[in-house]
Amino acid sequence: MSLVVDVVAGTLMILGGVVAVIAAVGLHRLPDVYARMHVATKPATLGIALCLTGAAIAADTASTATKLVLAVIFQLVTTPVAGHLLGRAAHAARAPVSQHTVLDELRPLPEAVHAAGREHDLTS
Amino acid sequence: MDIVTAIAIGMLALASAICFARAIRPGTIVDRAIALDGVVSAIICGIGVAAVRVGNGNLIDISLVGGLLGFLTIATVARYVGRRGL
Repeated sequence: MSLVVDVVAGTLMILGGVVAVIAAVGLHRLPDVYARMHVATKPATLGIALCLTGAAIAADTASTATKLVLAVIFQLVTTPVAGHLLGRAAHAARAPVSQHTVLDELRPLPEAVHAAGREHDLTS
Repeated sequence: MDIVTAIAIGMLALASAICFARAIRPGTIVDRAIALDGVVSAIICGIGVAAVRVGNGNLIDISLVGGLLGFLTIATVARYVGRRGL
């Protein structure tokens, strides 16, 4: 039983380390701020969840495991909020967008497109 | 278990070194903030693993506080970028 617990906990912790390394490489290789922000939230949610869940499985007392689960839940709640805040701020500050971007829904429409769309609506 | 935790801590140290290199490389404020947030999350993971290695459950409190500080850091940088630009 103890061996099973150790194997599961160790696998989870090493997986967390692998996720952190992959995300760190992605920070260097991805083309624009938004893609890098996307890759940076992976170790902050998945990596921390894996590592701390492994630690919670290996923990010997219930209070330690409870604190670990609390830390994981806190990370899962706050990381998307922080990413959203930073992404909106970067877009408002006109951080450059990669050429490969397919859809940018926050892009402000030019006035001409607005006017043409309205006329089209009236005539049809 | 000692070997496993040593491997995990080594990988997390490697990850935080790569993130730190990204923060030193030229880039916008947002890039640097993201890279330093990667360092913070690697440290949080590392403290969780180190608590298993040392066998001391009190270390977990540090990772809770670290998560809170990481969120506050990103929120502060977002406000700064929103007011002053990149």
